[in-house]
Amino acid sequence: MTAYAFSPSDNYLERLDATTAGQQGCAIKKSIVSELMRLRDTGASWLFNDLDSLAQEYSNSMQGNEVFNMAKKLLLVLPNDIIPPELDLDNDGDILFDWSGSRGRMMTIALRNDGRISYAARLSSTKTRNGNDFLIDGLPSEIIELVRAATQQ
Amino acid sequence: MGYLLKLLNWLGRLLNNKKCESNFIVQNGSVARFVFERRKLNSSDGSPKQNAFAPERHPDSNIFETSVCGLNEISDERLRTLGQTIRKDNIAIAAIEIRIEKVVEVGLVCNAAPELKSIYYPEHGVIVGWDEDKSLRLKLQQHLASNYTQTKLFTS
Repeated sequence: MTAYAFSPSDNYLERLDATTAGQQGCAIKKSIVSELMRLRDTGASWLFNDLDSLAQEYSNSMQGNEVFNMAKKLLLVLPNDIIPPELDLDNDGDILFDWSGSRGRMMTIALRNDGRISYAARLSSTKTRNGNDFLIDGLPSEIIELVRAATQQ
Repeated sequence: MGYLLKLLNWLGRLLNNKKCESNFIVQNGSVARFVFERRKLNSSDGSPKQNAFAPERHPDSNIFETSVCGLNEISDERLRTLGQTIRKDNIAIAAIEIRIEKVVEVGLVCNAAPELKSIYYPEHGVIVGWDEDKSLRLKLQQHLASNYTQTKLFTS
């Protein structure tokens, strides 16, 4: 069995030139590079670095930290057409994903370490939506639509 | 010493929990929320994100509170000094001002802080009335972030 290991302090876009052992190692590295290139094309790759920075600001390591692992999962399932969110850590330990659009529109997702999502969208002063859900295999479609509605031009 | 301060704060809450106004927090006035982290402001225009108004559960009362500073008759100089001194481990980078009427219109309440330690910080106030449901709190935080009047950036 072959695995490609990142050290806890690795920047996701660095160390990819490190030597890999065996055919499977090369194949894994190739698929990582291709996924990162896909994410870079969508403007999302720096988000993983920002998530890493966020972890470091709060003296956490992304590796082995449940809520940061959940956050990585959420970033990976974001559709390509969605603009990257701004990240923060809430005072209860949730990771926050914030989008702001024109005319004061806002969308916030708070992600807990067990995958529970709390969200709120402000599309105008009179049109708001909020609720709770879970991140299982992907983001619920209602939440994705709210992100799109909050960020559309 | 820590126990004594806790006891004083508890007594303060017991005695002052009906106290809504102070010289600095008046219902037709404004309050300011200090910001200590750059991530609480939008990177594009410096406007506050919803998280700038996030409440914390008070360890004694177990209710959600957002600390604010009453702005009635306080100078910019005093606001800046408070921003530099209210936290031992951090200095405020900005103060976000909001009218109390905007806080109250969504069912939140802005009171003078009940702790006796407010002898040293009499401008201290709290926004209370937050729901236990996190998504509802996020919605109200977004309302506050949308209705701020100005952000005062503190440059060193």
